Amino acid sequence: MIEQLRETIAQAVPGVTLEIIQSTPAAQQPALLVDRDHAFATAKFLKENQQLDFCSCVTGVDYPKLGQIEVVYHLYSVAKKTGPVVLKVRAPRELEQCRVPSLTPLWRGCEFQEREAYDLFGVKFDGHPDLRRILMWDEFTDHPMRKDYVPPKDYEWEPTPHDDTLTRAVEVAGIIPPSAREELEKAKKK
Amino acid sequence: MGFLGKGLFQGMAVTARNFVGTYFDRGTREKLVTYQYPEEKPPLPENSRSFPFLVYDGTPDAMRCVACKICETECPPQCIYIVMDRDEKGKPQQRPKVFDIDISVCMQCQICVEVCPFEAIKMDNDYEKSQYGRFDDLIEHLPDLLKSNEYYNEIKPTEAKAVDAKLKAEAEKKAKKGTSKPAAAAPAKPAAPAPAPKPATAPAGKITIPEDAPFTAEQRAWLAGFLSAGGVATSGTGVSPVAVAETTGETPVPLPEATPAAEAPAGGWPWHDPGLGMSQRMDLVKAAPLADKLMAAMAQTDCHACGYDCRGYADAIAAGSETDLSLCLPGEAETAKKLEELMKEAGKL
Amino acid sequence: MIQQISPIPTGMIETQTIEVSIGPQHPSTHGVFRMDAVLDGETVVGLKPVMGYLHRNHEQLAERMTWLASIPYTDRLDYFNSMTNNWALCLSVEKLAGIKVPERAEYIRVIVSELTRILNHSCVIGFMLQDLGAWGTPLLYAFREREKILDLFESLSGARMMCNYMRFGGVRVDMTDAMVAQAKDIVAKFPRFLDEFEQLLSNNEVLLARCQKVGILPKELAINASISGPMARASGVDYDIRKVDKYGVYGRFDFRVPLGEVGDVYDRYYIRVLEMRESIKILNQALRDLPAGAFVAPEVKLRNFKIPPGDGYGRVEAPKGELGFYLVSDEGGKMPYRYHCRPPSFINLTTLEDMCLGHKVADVVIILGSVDIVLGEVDR
Ligand code: SF4
Ligand code: SF4
Repeated sequence: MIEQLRETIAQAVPGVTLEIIQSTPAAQQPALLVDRDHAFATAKFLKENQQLDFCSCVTGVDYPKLGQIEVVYHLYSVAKKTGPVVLKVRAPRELEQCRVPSLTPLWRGCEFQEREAYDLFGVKFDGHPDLRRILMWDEFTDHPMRKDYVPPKDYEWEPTPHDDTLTRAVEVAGIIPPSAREELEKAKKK
Repeated sequence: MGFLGKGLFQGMAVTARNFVGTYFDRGTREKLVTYQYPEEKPPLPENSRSFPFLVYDGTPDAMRCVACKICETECPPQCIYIVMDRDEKGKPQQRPKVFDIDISVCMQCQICVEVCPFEAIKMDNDYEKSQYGRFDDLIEHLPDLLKSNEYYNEIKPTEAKAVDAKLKAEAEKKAKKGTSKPAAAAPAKPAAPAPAPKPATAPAGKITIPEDAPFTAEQRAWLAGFLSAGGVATSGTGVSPVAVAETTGETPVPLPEATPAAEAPAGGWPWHDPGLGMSQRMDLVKAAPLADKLMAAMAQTDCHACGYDCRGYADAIAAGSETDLSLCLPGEAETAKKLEELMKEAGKL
Repeated sequence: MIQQISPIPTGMIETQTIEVSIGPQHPSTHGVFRMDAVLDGETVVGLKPVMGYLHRNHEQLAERMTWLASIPYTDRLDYFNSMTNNWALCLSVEKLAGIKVPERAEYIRVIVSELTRILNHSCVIGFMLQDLGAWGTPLLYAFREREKILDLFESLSGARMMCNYMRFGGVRVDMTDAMVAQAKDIVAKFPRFLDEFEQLLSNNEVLLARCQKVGILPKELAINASISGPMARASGVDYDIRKVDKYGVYGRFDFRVPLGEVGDVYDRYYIRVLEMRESIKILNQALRDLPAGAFVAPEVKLRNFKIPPGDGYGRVEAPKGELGFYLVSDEGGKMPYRYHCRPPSFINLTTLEDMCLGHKVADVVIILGSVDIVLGEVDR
């Protein structure tokens, strides 16, 4: 099955490099790893010639060992009721080079999911109409699903105008927050 | 469709019917579905769950929990905190000193109940847990958590009955094993010693292995260690498996290679006693083969936290089929460190 | 529907578009969800959904714990339908590990899932009418029926909503005869309630006027935008995973997949009524054929459960659409290396703007209601 598909794609998209990645022995969902430059053409071919009209699931996977981030597309065909064909694209982990072509022009369904992958993994999708963060807030700077992400100690801390108010309260009015109070008392005893 | 507004009238008819219907079928609760809550509580089904509690038999001292920490590791939001009780000398006491559940974090998933091998933790159905404080008041400590087996039987009769029956069967099996084992090992001497007296206090009798006994050098060395360790075999009446072997000419001695993993040797493993400290246990296995040394480093609770019993885990490590040395939860860092040390000594790490 | 946008009248009064933020704290958004709407008068000319207020990174949490420990967390995704969420994860894991589920467990899974579907759809309809301004009545009727199903779930799994009921290779507790009888009773009485519900609503002139020809989603767009579940079927997309994948034992039941024609809000309302009737059919068959036997595969260990390295994607037809889990296991195999949840209500929001353009602000509320979102799942 997948071998055949690979042959067909190789004929239709000149210059493409395709590699088959096996899933677990039980799952039987081998994937096609396609190089970044031909990903869009391959996807287009799959959509138009193989009637894979339904892009069900898009997500990223971080592989620090390979130094790469993988974007996985699960394609189904509503017309033929077949699937899934799993398409994988890999990009280097470094933020500047972590770019893959966006498939949103082909499948609208990728729009939010690619935004999510950008948000959580930092993959930039070239050609995406509206690539913004979607789950994290706009001022957030990191990409939390990467394996090397270290969560902050205080999850909810972010700079707010309230910080100034607090500092001023300490300085001007002499109000001491409970956390600092203990230390002060210790110092006094000494 | 008929005239304009017909649908509206139909809808009004339905509401009217329901309105009137509320006043009927009171007895069957088919229509009247409101409970006047604080005064009148809806009956809870048996499976209903709120927060976990610890079961004890008879008195709160006899709690079933052995502080094996399986529930602590498996709890998805990590809201259980356990410290094992130790006496002044640092011997583990097989029961928790601290057992806290933070019920502001607990998500009532029942996973702790499912994984506990000792039927020690069960789900309560008391849902009225509101407190005035946000932090300390919402942490349940050991005394709050302990509830009697009778209470458990009251709230979950079928489940508790099944558990009681299972525990009883297990206890009987154990009792049988305890009496039949020494008898089988030493048929000639029915006055076999108790399976596990405290070896520390028992006098270490000296038994030499006769020159003509059919052992290889390695086996001989192991036996010497086994005997000089002053285990079960040498205490009390002084009957040891070896002595039996000598007299009967058979060799029921558990030789390291031949021992099946799960079966204890006739006299039991002297170090397989959670009451002993680590150093005492290590003394007992000074000359024993690696697998026994490894086993002696475990916490000896047979809690299956590692996925084996203590013997099985030691054998798996010795055979190389298990590479993770940190699986013994009740043994904590002490065991993990010792295991690593032993493996390094043996040149396997 | 973009052609309907009224052009700004030139030469008359000078007008401006204004940007209105609907939500995040707004009763019509079904949770903390925000819509940035650009309005020209009362007409919507632009609308961006903004989410993430409930984001807790469910996926990362799951990657830091064992496979078993993430089952109770799936309950919290779409908190109306914890049973189908459990099933989706268990199905994916069973696919990866090659676990065979005993017959009885499969039937019980079908029963609880179809009950969940009924529960979800009746509430969605209630909420949708709440959005229309039918204050209270239909919603409370729906909740009254839902309560009966929740009672069954409580006696079965111990909790009303956070059921945490399924396990890899089966279900956690067996369904006793009393529970089967209770389920049969619910199923037998439900059609009467549905008839009543329809009498109350389906021909109601106000409902028709507000719902028909509002928020049309064309079939092609629905497929292209990965819309799934009742929303896609209301647009005429003949795609039901229960029929296509035949997961579990769905291949054995006789039921139809209702399809809409127009793809407007009314179709999305009516599709759900029809789906409930089909669910009743499935339930009748499943309760009739429920075999005896084990309810969980005995060879599956609860602790130290491991999956061979590799990846796989499993999906079920949840009441809101296609709920899938993409899982990757590595050498250790004790915890997921990657755990991705494909939430239907998140992806169904992709076309919210397309459906809302050109309609009045009041319609946005009802269009969103007809998408049927739960923010626990959208934000994860
Ligand atoms: S799992 Fe272990 S620590 Fe937890 S309650 Fe059971 S016996 Fe106690
Ligand atoms: S019920 Fe679940 S969350 Fe609560 S203590 Fe047990 S395992 Fe932890």
